[in-house]
Amino acid sequence: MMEREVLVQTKGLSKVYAGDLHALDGIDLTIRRGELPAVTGPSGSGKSTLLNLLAALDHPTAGEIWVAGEPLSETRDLDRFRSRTVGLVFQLHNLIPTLTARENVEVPMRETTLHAQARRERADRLLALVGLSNRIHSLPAQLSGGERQRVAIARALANEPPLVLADEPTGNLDTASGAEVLSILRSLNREHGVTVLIVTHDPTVARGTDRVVTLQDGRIVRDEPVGDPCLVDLRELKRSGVGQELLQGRLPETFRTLGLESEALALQKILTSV
Amino acid sequence: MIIRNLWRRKVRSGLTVAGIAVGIGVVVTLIVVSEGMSGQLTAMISAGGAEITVLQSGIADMQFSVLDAGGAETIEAMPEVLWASGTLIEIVPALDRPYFVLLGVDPQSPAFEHFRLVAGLPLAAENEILLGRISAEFSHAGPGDTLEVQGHTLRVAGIYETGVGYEDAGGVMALEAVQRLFRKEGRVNLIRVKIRPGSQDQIDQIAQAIEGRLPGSAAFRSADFSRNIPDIQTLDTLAGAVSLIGVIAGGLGTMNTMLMSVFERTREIGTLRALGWRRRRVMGMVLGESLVLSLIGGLAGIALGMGLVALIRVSPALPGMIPLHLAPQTIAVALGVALALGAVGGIYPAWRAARLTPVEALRYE
Repeated sequence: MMEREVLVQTKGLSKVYAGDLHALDGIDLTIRRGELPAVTGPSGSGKSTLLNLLAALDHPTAGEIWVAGEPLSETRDLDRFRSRTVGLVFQLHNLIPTLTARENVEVPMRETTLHAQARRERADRLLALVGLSNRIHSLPAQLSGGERQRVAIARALANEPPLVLADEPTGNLDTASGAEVLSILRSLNREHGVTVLIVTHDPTVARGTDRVVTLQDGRIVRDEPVGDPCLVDLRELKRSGVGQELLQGRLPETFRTLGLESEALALQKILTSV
Repeated sequence: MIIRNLWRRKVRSGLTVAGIAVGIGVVVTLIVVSEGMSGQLTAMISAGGAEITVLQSGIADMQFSVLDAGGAETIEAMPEVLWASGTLIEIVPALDRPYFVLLGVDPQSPAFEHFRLVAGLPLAAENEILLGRISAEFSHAGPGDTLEVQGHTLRVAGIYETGVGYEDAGGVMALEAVQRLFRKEGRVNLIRVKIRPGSQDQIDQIAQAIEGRLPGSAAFRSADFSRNIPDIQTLDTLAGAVSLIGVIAGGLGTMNTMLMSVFERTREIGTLRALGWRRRRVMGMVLGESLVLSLIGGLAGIALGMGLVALIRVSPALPGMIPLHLAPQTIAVALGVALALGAVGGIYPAWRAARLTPVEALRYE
């Protein structure tokens, strides 16, 4: 398979806050167009800081970020970058309470030359995409948590950015709404080719993506693809003490005791491949 | 969006509008009263088309001005002058009012044509008076009725109307009759001068020549007259000072409202910035809110000011003397001041809102 074009790249990205707090410490990360990666890690590991830097909401202390080949440090018009190149989904939807769903989706479009009619049509189309055609005129207070987050996703797509950054998009939702929001983000990626980076501390959410980048103390400690969800579970099982003992000790032993040599070999093959 | 942001803080927006309205209302009232009074004075002085008004020089109020009645003849002898007419103005209690403006004008002078009869007959005897229309209406007096002035009984011969509040709220008698009534024989307060057609472009030179011929006199263009009266100047200064206080209070109120609303919406402003809104647009939104507030306050202030003027008009001390006239310039000044308030009150909060980096604003709880 041909390698896809690089959309985001960081080299030696660091952020030091006052008081010598190293929130990020030399992050080298490459994200290709059309990927669906998750950035995960315990709180304080630097997940949100990374997202803030990628969204150009904050400046790095050291290192560089390239988005579509452009170094961010040399981008003059960061407002334009924020409105056209990235779409943001916040943990708390951050919708404007006085505006209807449609008007909220139109907010980022106000920085473009789109006229009112075109803005409205695009907002309605995006709301349909997140399944809220019937909620166009509702105010945020009239929507459920999941619906609000779906409006926020539509808003992130307002100016058709190549990259969507979602900061704990399911963090404030119940399981069902969270799953729904996640499935919308996945379908944006699968069906519309949008690159979606999800910051999450929830392993279930992370497993729903293509690739999990794990941060700890501001460094990348693991960066691996997510395969079939069953294999992921298996891999986790393999890592745990009991799982290891069972899968690599007792189970093959039992197969052999029962004379099932070929099954024991097959199990061994599976375990080495995951 | 601007309107809805204001609407979600109805009470505070309403109070701010009220604050601005009071400030602007005071400004409007003072402008209308001051303009009205000076406009009325100018109209009164220019009666009969007189271009020049002569007073005693160095006098604070025209009522204190004393000129020799013979001055009118001296001026009339000048070749550029068509006519000159002396006027005596007495302000006395009469018709149950503290102020009654009694004018003494020569009935033979063209200046007297200014007092257009609307009822009754012209002056025929020494003890006869013509009443102004407002005066007659307020005291329910008509031709044939009598009134007491300075212990003398005067008979109302007719009713006139000039359209000038001061005059219509007073009365007019023959100059010599007023002089005798107040023991001011041979004296007038002012002389009105009408210039011959063809000499109109020499008004200033003629005024100078008059001052030369009548020592101790000061001759003004009638149109500039009110500007030269210390009373009106004082009123204007007072109006300016009171307006300034009103305006400062209104501006601080607007700034307070906008600052609070910016603080409350810090996260929201951070969101807008994170979604790519430029500082300019954020500033525009906050400034726009403050301008809308001040514009509504300005319009309410104009209405309030006119209401106050209407109240002043029905007060017995100044019955109908100030015209309820809202000049386009007054509206422009009121709205201009209101918008300036909105701009001044909104700029600092707008700048604060725009200055925040998105990440700071988003972190704000």
